Amino acid sequence: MIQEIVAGFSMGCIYALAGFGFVLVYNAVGAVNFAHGELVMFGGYFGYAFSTHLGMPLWLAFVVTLLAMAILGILFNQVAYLPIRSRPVSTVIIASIGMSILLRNSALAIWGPDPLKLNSFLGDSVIKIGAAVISRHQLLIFAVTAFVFTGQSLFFSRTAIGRKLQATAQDQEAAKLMGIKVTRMINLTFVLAAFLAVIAGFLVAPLWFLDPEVGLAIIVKAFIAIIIGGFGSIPGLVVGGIFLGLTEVLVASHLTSEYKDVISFFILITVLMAMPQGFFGEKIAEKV
Amino acid sequence: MGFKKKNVIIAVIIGGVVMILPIFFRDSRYYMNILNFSGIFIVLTYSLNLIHGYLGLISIGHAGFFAIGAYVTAGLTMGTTLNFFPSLLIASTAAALAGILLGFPATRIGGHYFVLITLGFGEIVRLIILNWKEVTNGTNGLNNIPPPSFGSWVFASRFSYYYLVLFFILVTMLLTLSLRRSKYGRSMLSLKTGELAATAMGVNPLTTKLINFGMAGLFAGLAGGLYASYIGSISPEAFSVDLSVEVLVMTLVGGSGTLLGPIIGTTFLMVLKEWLRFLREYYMILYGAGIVFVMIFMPYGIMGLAKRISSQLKS
Amino acid sequence: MHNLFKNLSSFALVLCLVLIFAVTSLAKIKVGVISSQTSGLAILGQRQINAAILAAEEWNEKGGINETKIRLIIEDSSDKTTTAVTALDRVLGKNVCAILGPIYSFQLFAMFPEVKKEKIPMLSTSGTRKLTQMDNRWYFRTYPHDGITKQACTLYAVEELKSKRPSLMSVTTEYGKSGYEIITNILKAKGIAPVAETWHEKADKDMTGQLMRIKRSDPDIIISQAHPSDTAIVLKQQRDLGIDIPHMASSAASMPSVHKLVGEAMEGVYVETVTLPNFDPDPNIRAWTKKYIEKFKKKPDSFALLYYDTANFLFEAIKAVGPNRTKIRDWLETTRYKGLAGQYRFDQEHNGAFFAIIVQYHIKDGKAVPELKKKYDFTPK
Repeated sequence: MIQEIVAGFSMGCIYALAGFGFVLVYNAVGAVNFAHGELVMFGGYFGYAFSTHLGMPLWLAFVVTLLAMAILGILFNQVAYLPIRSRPVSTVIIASIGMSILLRNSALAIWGPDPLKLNSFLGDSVIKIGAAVISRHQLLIFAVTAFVFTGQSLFFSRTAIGRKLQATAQDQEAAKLMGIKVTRMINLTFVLAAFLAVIAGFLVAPLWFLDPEVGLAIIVKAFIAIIIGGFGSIPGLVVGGIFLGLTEVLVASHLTSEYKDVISFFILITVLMAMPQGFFGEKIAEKV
Repeated sequence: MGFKKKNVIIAVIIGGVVMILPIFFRDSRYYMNILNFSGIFIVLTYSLNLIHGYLGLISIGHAGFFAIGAYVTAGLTMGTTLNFFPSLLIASTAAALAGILLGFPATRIGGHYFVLITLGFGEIVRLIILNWKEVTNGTNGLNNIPPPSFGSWVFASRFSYYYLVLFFILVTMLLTLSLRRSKYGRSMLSLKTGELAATAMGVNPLTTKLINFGMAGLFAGLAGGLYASYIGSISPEAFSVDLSVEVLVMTLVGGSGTLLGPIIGTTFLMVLKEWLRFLREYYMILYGAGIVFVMIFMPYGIMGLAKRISSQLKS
Repeated sequence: MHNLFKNLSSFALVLCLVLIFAVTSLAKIKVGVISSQTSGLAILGQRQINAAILAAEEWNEKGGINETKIRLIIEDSSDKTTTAVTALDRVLGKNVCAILGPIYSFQLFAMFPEVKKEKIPMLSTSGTRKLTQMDNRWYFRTYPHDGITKQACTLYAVEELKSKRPSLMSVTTEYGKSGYEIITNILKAKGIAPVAETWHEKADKDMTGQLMRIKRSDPDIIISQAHPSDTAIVLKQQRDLGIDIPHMASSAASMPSVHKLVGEAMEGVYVETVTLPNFDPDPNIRAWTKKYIEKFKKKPDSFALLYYDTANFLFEAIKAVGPNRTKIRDWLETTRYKGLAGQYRFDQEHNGAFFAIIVQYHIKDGKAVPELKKKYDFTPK
């Protein structure tokens, strides 16, 4: 049982890590970006390209990937969000789905269909704690999730840029009057989302491997975690992710693996029927 | 959108073009196939058009209704003595019931949260089809589904199938139109703009949403039945989330909530994808770019742009 | 990013080729190739298309078939039924004389009505048992079906590894479902019931739940069936969780790209497969593999090698009887062919290949190296 809980926790943290960037963009500019999974995937792929093809040490590859993804984030914003930001939310969603198809197939063209592995910062080794086995990489995932979780809330509440971002999120017109450069803030949002995608990518890729479909797989799970936790809520995302991860592993282990996803969905839907706003509700009014 | 003289003329012209269109493509199995697939997905897109265009809800579970329609039609035509048309009717009713079932949570759960319900619905249907092999034959699927027949007339050729699909597109359009003109259609639109205000005005959100979802299920089930008997072979792979997302894209690229949007969006994307095939393994990149392009330059879909142009021409 | 540049230039090259083909569509023997170039299924599809290209180029270098060059009409079937069916239309629209088909049965099933109606021979390297039980006289299978490969791995587990308490892990795709039935039937005939059966989705990334279930039931072997990514996850996590029992993996575990993912955990894993293009001692296969890698910068898999044989088998048929659909079919039905991987001969159902091997992998200098454990040949006498 402990083993399953460890696994469920680590899957939950992965869902949360992938969801952080999605929630950031949603909270800051109100956009639902379904291509965020592909950004996570590209974070991993760039890391693979820099570390394996160009032979950089992993930390250097990480830094260079941050830069590369910052550019991709700005490009993404300039192409698929900024021109349509005042349009209906569904328009933005469809554009992001288009970007997701574009990025997924670009990855297929560049890196091919074979799954690739990005090495972990801490290698492949495992530690035995009592009856349970836990890998060093899983410990890293727990630590980074906790770090990003606190870092993100501190960033928004304690730093000037964070406050400016929040002001922009709440009322772009008012922010403009206060002298905040809105376009710059939106660009910054996408750069930060890309950074979060890189962090997620570097942590997901050693476990999930990189193939052109992995972005889709991860965003679906992250999206479920976001909804179950309460759309836009960061604590909700983490709790929702862990809830989902635990449900999946425990159902597969103790009930049925054949119908595990059916039962997981039933549990999720039941939770939603009881709490129509997810675990933590929603700060901002509904946007879709 | 009254029956203005101008509208009638336009409808007659479009109708005429659509009627004779396949005669030019009769010898090309490929173009006839694209036309027929487009036709089937147009019916499916009308279904989502109701939910998104009239209630403002997003569904990524439409493959579920589509699958119910397909499997029930196939099962009845293969396993019983029932003819195609009664089977299709039963299948669409089954899908409509599933739609009504999905409509209940829609009154309680809104916005993003509802998207999860639809995702769950679509996946649950697919997983049941996949695993319940005593009934659905599992991954081997149902094969050799007979083509539709009406008396001694069999819709075996792609050419004849076109007119069958066309008939159902017309039925779908007429039902959409009459729903919009009815009391319930107005209630739906008022719910879309503001549920609280609409409820205060005496609109019953539950009945209105259930009718909408029932109709949407009906259309999607219809499309599924047409698909199954057209392609002759169905298996769980065809009913994944991918399909649901594609239908959502088709709806919004065409222009959600408009009468012609589903036709234009679906046909545009089907043709775009096939046309880009000459780019070999790179064509899907441009397909994605095409969707982004449409959304940037036609944020309200192709129909949105058409409307803007026509209103500018008038003024 | 030399990779990106390489791909951009190959993209330009493809464009040029398309143009050149459009200009010079002279009298040629046209053969259709339909497989997944895009989507998650491209992992097998792209290698198959490459194998067909390689075979056709070799023939064309020697002047083609009876002095006429071969032209392949390649179309993508992606991961969708509709895309596969329109791909078939496009290929048929070019008046091909035969088609090398996709591997996935849900696409093949949807194509069968048209294939029968058009009376066009279609060959493919699919394993799904049901395909050749549909009374389609135009479809030919040139890969051992699940009844062969799964028989080999089950027999090896029971007879050689003396398993009494096997456990099964399967993926919920056509591949896993079809194989599961065959394995359980063979086990039942041997009087053995699996102590645990687990399932996972192809896209699942964590198998802890499944593996813990297996661990609790205390089996003496795991027989798994999965696709590349999930195979790697199963093998890795089994080792991480310290479940120290033999593992009989499906042929995905023989792919070199999977070995990179699994790493050390490949040690001792048994794999059921058909050929080992990258390790075969046969000099002909070695030469072929070298050529393939030089041309496509990727290692081939067993499916690619058999697809290559399939293409050659088909070209031999065209050489013998000309580009006539019915004659090709009749020739294929009655003729034996010795390809690189083995003997092909179609039975009543049009199953053409009946061989399978069991290998065990060992880690040597950080690389997974297979050791041949047993060869199975079920070719009907």
